[in-house]
Amino acid sequence: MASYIVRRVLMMIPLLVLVSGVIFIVIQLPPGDYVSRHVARLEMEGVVTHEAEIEALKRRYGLDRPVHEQYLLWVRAMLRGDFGYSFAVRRPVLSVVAERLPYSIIISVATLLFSWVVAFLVGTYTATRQYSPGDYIASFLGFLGLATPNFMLALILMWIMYSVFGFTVGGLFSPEYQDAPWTMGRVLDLLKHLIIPVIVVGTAGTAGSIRILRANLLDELNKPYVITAEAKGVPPFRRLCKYPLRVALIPFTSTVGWELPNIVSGETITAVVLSLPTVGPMLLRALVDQDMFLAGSLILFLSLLTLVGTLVSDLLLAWLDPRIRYDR
Amino acid sequence: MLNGRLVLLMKMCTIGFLFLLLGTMPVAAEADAFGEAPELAELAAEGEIHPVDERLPEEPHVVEPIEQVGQYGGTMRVFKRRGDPPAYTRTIGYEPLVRFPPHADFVTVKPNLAKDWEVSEDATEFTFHLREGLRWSDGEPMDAEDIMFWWEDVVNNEEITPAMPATWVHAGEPMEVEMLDQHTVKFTFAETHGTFLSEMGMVQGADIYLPRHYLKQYHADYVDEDELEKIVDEEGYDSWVDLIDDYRDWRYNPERPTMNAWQVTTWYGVGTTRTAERNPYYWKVDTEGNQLPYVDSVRYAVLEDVEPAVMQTMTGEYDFVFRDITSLDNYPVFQDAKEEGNYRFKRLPLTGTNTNVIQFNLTHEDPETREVFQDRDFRVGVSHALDREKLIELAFLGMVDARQPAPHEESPFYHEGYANAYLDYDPEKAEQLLDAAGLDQKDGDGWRLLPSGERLDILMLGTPGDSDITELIAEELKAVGLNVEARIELWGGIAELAGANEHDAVVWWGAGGMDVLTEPRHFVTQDGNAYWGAAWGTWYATGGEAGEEPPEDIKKINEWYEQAVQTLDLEEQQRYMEKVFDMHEENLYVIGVSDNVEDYTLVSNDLRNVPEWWWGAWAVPHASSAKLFQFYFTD
Repeated sequence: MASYIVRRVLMMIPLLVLVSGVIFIVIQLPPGDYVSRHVARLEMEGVVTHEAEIEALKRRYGLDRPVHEQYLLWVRAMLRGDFGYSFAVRRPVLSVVAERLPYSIIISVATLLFSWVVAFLVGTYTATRQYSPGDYIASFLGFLGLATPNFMLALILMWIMYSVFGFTVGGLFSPEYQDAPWTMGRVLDLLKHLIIPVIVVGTAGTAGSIRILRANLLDELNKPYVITAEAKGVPPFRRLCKYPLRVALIPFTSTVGWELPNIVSGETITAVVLSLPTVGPMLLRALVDQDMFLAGSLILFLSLLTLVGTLVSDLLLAWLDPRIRYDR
Repeated sequence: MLNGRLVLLMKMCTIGFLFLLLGTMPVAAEADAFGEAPELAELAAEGEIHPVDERLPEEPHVVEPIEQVGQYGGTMRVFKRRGDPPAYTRTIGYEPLVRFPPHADFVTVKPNLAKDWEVSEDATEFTFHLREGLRWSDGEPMDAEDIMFWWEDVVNNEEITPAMPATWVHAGEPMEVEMLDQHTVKFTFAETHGTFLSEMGMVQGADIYLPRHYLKQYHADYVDEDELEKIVDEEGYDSWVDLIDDYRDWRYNPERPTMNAWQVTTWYGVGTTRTAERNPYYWKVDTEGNQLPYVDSVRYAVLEDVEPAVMQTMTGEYDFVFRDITSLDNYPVFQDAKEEGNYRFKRLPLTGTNTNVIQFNLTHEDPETREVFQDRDFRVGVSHALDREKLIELAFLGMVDARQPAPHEESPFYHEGYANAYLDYDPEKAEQLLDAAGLDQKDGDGWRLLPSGERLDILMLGTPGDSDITELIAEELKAVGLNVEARIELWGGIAELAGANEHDAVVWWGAGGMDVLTEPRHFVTQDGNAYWGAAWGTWYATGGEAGEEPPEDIKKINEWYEQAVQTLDLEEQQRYMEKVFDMHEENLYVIGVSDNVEDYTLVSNDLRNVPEWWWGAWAVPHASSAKLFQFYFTD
C-alpha cells in the first residue's frame, strides 16, 4: 500500500509540470495582456494613459519579456514558495487567496454536509418506498433542482427575499458585522447569510446524489442476500443498514476526487450573483483581467487538489470496498 | 461614616467640576472661531491631535454650502466594483491646487490648496501661492517642498518614472518647476501654455504633491541602500520602485498621509468593505467656521459583481449611487423604487460632444479612396444618409437629439451652426451627393464603385460599448449603396490600426464637448488620436518628421487652435475656436449622431447639500466634483 501511495505521489510531479505549462499557455492565449486590458478600461472612462506609462507598467509586471521567460520566472518563484503578485489587487497572490479561502471552505463544507445529509435521507426513503407518492414528489423536486441553473435559483431566491421580506441577501455579513471582530453575534449573522448560498449551491448536487443513492440502493435491495435476510426475519431497518446501504454509499466516496477542488471554487457563478467573498469569483475576475499570476496559481492549486482528491478517493474506496486492491 | 464619605465625594466632585469649568473656559472662547466634529474635539482634548485652530491653515478654504450649514455625523454608504481604484478618486479624491466647481465650464478654475496664483503676460510662467499652515492628515506641515518632492524625486527620477508623462511636456520641452519660497511654486514652460491652468484644475492636478516626510523613508535617494532593501524584502516587493509605486498612492496605502477629506483605513484589495475616516486636518471650513467634512466616514462595499447592488439600492442600502449601475437600462426600475429606496435622482450630464463620431480616414493610404473621403460632398452625403431618428430610437431609447459633434451647449465654445448642420434624413440628396463625389458607378449588386471601377469597401471600426450603433450606422450606409462593414475592436486594436494609418473609418465616443481645448481630437489634428486625419496628426505630433503635411484648410484650423491655446483670454479663445467650427460646419470633417444621454446619480433623501447636477466627467471627476465634503445627513 505504502509503495502504491508513493508511486501515485511521484506521478503527480510530471503531471503538475505539464498542467502548469498548459495553464500558462491558455491564460496567454487571448489577445493583449493585463496592462492592455487595464488601459482599455481606463480609456473607456476617459482616462488617458500615455505610451510611456504603459511601457513602464509592462516592464514592472514583466510583461515585456518573451512568454517562455515569463513562464520560467513564474515557475522558479513558485519553487521558492512565492506565487507571484496579483496585478489587479497589488498584493502577493498568497495573501489574496488566504483571505478568501476560509469562506470558500465554510460554504463548501456546509453545502457538502447539507447535500449529503439530505441526499442520504431522501435517497434512502425513495429507494425503500419506490413508486410511492413520496418517491414521486421527491423525484420531481430532485429533477427540478437538477435542471434549474444555480444562478437562476439564486436570483429567484434573492427576489423572493426582497419582495416578500423586504431585505436583500448578498455577501456573508450584514454591514454592521462586516468589519467587526468575531463575536457570537457575528457568527449568527454569518449563519443567517449562509442559508441561501448553501441551498442554492447544494440543490443541484443534492438532486444528483439522491438519484445515485436511489438507483444503487434499488440494485442492492433486489439482490438475493437481502431476500435471504428478509426470509430469515432480520428486522427491516437493520436489514437495510447492515449491507445494502453500505454498498450503495461507495459511489459517494468516489466523488471526493472532484469535491475537493469544488470546495475551493465550486460555487463561482452563485458566488458572483450573491456577491460572496470566496475564491471562485476572484478566479473568474483574474481570468477576465488576465491577472496572470493570480489566475495561474489558483488553477494550479485546483489541479493539485484534484490530483490529491482522486488519490484520497481511491484510497477510501479500497478501504471501504474489500473487493478493490491496488497493489499486487 | 457612610454619610461622611458621600459628602466628601460630593465636595470633590464640585471642586473637580469647578476646575473643569476653569480649564475649558479659554478653550471655549477660542472654539467660537472654529467648529469641529465632537469626536475630534475629544481627540484634541486627549492630546492625540492638535486643537482645531492649529489643525486648520491660517486662511482655511471657506466653502459656501450648496444649501445650508450642515451638522456632523453619519456614515455615507456607497459601493464599488472590485478592481476599480478610480472609484476612490471619484468620491474622496480630487484636491488639486486649483479646482473646478460642480457646474464647471472647464476653463475657469477656483482656489483650492492654492489661495491665489499669477500667470505671466505670455502665459509661460504660472506661480501658485499655497495656503500657509496646511497640514497632512498626520499633522505634519504640507508646503511647496511636497510639490518639489513629487517633481524632482518622483517624476524626474528615471527609475520611478522612466518617461516624462506627456501632461508635463509642452512644445516638446518638459516644464520647469521651481520653489520660490516655502509656500510658492512656479511652473515654467518654453512656450505659451494657455490650457495649463485648467489642466491644473483637472484630476491630474491632484497628483502633483506627495507627502515628502513620509515617502522619504522608502526612497533610495534618502535612505541607506541596505536598510531599504530590508524593508522591500519584508513587504514582499521586488524593488524599492515597486514599493514606492504602491506606497505613494493614497488609494492603496492607508498610512500614506493625505490632503483629502477622508482617509482609507485599510489596504486596497483587503476584505469586502473599506472605510475612509474623516481627516482631522482637513483644511476647509463652512461659512460659519465649522471644519469640514460633515460626514464622519465613507464606507465602500466592495462588490465582485455590481448586479446585486441594483436590488440593494432599491431597498435603500446605499446613500450615494454614482457608478456602475446608473445606466439607462436601470432607470425605470430605480424610478419605481424611489419611495422604498429612500433616494432621489440628480442629473448627470455628460461632457461629450456626441454619442458617436463617425470618422473617415481623410489620409487614407489608397489615393483614390482618400480623394473620395476628402470630398466634402461624400461626408455631407453620408450625414444625410443617416436616419438619426431611427438610430436614436433603437440605440438610445429616443432620449437624445440629433446633433453634429460641436462643443456642448454649456461650453463657452458652443457653435450652433455646426451642431445643427446637415442633420436631416434625405436619402435622395445623399445619393446625389455621393454621385457627385465620384461614386456614381455601381456594380451588379448595387454597391458604389470608385472612379477606377473598383468597389469602395469601407471597414468601420467601433468599440465594444458602441457595437449596436456601429452596426446600425453601417446598415444605414449600405442603404445608399456604400459597402460598409462594421467590426468591433478593443480600444487598443483601433489605436494600433489608426496609428499605422491602416483604418478606413472609426466610430468613436465624442470626447471633448466641455474640455474643448484639452481634448480636441475631433476638432483638430494635433496628434494620432485624430483618427479622421491620422497621418496629419502624426505630422503635427512629430514636428513634421513623420506622417504627412496637411492641406491648407487643415493647417488653418490647427493654427487657430494653437493660437487659442496660446492665450489666456477667453474671448480671444472663443474667437479662434469659432473659426475652427465655422470650417467644420462648412466641411463636416467628422460626422455626429446625437448629443449624449444624460446619466444620473442616486442620492439618499437624508443627504443634504447635494448639487442639482454636475458633470459626468473624469477630467473634473464625477462625483468628487460635487463636493462630498460638505454633504451632511439630516436626522
